[in-house]
Amino acid sequence: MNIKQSWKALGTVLLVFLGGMAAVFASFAFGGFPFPGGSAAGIVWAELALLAVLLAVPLFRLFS
Amino acid sequence: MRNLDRVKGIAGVLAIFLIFSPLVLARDYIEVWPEGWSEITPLFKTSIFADRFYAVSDTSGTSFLSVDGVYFRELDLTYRLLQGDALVEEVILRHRAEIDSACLGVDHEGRRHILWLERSPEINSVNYTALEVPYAGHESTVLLETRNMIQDLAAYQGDESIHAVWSEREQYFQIRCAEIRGGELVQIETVTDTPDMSVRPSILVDEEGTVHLAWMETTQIGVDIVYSRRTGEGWSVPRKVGSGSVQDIQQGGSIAVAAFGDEVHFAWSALPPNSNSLHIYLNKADAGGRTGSPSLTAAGSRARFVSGIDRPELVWQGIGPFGAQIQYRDEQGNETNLTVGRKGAFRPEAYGQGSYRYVYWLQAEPDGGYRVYGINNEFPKPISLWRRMGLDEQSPLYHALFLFVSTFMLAAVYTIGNFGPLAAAGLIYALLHRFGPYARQGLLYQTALLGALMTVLRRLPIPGVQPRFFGAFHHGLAYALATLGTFLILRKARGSRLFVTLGILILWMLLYQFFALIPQTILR
Repeated sequence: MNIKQSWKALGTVLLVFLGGMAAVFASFAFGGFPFPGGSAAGIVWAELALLAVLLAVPLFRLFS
Repeated sequence: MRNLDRVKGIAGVLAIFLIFSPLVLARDYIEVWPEGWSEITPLFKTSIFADRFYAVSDTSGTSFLSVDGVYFRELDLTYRLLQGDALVEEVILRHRAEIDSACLGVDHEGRRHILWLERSPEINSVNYTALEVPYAGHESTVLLETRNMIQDLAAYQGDESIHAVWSEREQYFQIRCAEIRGGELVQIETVTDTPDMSVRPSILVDEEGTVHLAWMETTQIGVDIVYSRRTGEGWSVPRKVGSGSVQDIQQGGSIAVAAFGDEVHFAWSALPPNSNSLHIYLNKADAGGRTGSPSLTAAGSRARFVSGIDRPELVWQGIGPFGAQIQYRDEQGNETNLTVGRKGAFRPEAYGQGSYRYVYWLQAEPDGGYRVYGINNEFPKPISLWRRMGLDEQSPLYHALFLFVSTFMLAAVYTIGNFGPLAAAGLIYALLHRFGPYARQGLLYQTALLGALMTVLRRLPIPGVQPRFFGAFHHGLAYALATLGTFLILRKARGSRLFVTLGILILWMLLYQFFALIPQTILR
């Protein structure tokens, strides 16, 4: 990896962190600042559903 | 090399600018304001000797009744009338007495009725006075005198009469209920007759004129929340509504009671199983007096229903990072932390007028004593875009830089702390990779799958540290950004499958923690 590639990689890392941070701040600007609280019970089911969908995708491709 | 020197130079200038910039005075935290709510207004000094203060509203303004002073045997019972934030009237109704509890009610003619329970070494008494707006003097009446220990006075103000309850010790503590008309005691009865301690009564009279009573009864095995109502045949057989807590009784807790339609709602605090902090429980009785199962609402104590509205909304003393904080919950269950800054706030009272809510609470003063503070949603405080985002509007960029650095360091610690879920996800993924369909997937899929595995696995009892939960949207956003970011950074990575998988695991977890921890760092 030459120096130019290293700077590119570092730039990508910074872009991801700063861009992501900007996206989080933008979500606060549009939706209001979130306060901690509420139950994460429903989220567990959403996480399980996402995992199930992701696990099913390759099998679906295999059989289709 | 010339490019490298140039970059080093720019970085050096930037570092010097940031270090010596006057913006270095920026605070490391900001006060995040509840959106749609007013400035918090300091009102008047009071004490915490009584278990609660009263805030009642009518067309004349908001009337407050509080017990003020610095010594429990020399307390002033003080009535205040505020119009907006302006103090219009302040009357000391009783000077320098040992006052256990006091109640304020306003009748349909705007007359203020005040009851209080007074103690002295010789005798204890229930006292009454009334006053008009504007104030034109008052006369106090002793309604009842007894040598028995009396405590926990509560009352309900009707249009024609006041129903009062208190706990009185004869052989055991029993609940006494009285009706007061025209400043005179017209009826008094003892509701309970048990060897248990019956304390902390609350009373309510519904539109049909039925008197509803709830109290705490300490038995050999715990504390029961008990409910009874007076029908044409007398008091109904006391019915257990739920379990209370000795801790709540010790801290001056009581049962909030309110009628909505033909239902009577109850809110109180108790210790849930396997918890050592008080939580709010709710229950209700239907028109036939039947009660359901209590439901756990949130961590906290001192719940009160917002008075003056026709639906159940709650305020309570919740648990925050800086001590107690005031929580408001609307009918839909949306919770708002009304407390701003690093100050503990406790003992909330609230009333509603139409769609407006007015909440008051106590805060400790830096020079000693306590002060009543108020907030409302009638005059919302304008919030700048920076503040809405959680950034200090005086130096937003510096604050953002501070957040970036501190969140990054915290995310690194949280990533190390999640070695367990990381290892478990890596093992499961290695097993999956043995099957062809999974092994042939692209980098984005692999990242999303490993991320989903880690989010699910961290829910299992595997040791790990998790950021606080800031809602489903923020959680989903952190997952999406971590997945996309990991893909962008590693999309050109070359190396063995093990190297790439390890890279995904660590980088995804670092990015997820970073994005998930941003609001936590802002509020710390």
